[in-house]
Amino acid sequence: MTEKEPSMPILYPIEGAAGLTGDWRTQRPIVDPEKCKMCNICWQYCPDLAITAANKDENKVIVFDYTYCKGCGICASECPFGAIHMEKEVD
Amino acid sequence: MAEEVVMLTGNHSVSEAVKRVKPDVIAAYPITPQTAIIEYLSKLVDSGEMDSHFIRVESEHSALAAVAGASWAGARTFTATSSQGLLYMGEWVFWTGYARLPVVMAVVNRCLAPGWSIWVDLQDSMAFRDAGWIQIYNKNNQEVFDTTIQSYKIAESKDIALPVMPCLDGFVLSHTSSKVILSDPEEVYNFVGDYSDPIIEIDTGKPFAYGSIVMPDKYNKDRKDLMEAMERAKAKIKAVNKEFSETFGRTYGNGLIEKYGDDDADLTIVGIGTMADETQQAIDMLTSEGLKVNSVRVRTFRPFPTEDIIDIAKKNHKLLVIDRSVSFGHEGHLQMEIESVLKRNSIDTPVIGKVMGLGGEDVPYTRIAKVAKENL
Repeated sequence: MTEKEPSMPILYPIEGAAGLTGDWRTQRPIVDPEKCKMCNICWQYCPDLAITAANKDENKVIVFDYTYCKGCGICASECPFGAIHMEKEVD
Repeated sequence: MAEEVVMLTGNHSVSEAVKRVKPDVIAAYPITPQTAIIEYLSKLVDSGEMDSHFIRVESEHSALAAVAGASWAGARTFTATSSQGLLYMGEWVFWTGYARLPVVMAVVNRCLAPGWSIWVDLQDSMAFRDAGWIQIYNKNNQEVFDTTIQSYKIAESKDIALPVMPCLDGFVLSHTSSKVILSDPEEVYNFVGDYSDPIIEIDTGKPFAYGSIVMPDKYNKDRKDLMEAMERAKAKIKAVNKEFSETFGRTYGNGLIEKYGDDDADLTIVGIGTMADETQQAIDMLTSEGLKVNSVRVRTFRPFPTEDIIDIAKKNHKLLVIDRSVSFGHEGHLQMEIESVLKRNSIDTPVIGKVMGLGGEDVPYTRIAKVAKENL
């Protein structure tokens, strides 16, 4: 009998499984580099992994990935320093 | 410690087997007539004779959920239940089967309420025949001990990856003492092997989501794979039965069915559980009267021994199927499956069905013999 791995109801993460969700956005988050303390609280809260974490050693603030960011605003709501604000998308 | 010969109940036969297999995680909730299994195991964990992690839960639903979670994480697991408890677990019974988790759960068969009763029929486990579990029904306490051990070897094979339900008749086996050979613990553990290379485990380096939404193509792929695994399980159960017999000297038919008496009978009595064992006495009695009868005990209800049933129907002249459970609005579960197998394979051996022994009704061999005579 040949050994066989079962087909299980599990999913491995892949980038963009649901398509380019950035298209769904009506507002976009903007970071103010002067106010950003690089604490990465927004990075922890982002439900879509659409934030690249800040790096204190290299003095780099957070970066949004607008390809996938749906504009939910959780990051702006969670930032303790008011460093993120939402702006209406204009096409 | 070597082999021991003891007087033991069916429940403690399960516990002794589980003790030897050394599961990492045990969780269960008490329910008659299963309780003694878990009571004994919790005692062994408490005294340090077993170093399993024993999770105390507030319900059967949580018991199987806890065990399934542990199985996802790569643990060897055990739980046990009966009747209303199995029903309460319902959601997780299907979840565990569909998730392909190699959980072993002893089901001590007890009828369903109302009316309230604690005695045996097979309605409880039969209600879960479609949940993706292997179901093995036992005839005596020795087989209960042996099947519990075999269950781990079947469930944990990567080419099977299915949960297994060793089933034993409530009270008739669970609370009745009889002679049981308890094989050497080390030999039993070596037979089953450790579970260090699990079917699935948590790997933080390669995270995955389970239980999340899947599209119909993935869903159908999983179900098809489950169906194929069940089909492969037939050969696996036979192979494990054979290997077990070579190691311990005890065997149960071909693993899927157990035949009794000579082929070419005018009547073959097909049954399941202890009633099928009782049937063998009826066969002896009828044979001594010069009648051509034999019997078949279906040991594995899922996967169903289709090929063996075809073979039996071809070699004999009439089948009397005795069920201890029934699908209301249709007929007995065993009869249903056998008729379907024969129809699908254009075999016209007549099948007569009889539902007996519900709610713990005593069915002695004399009554089985009487029914056989009426249908000869």
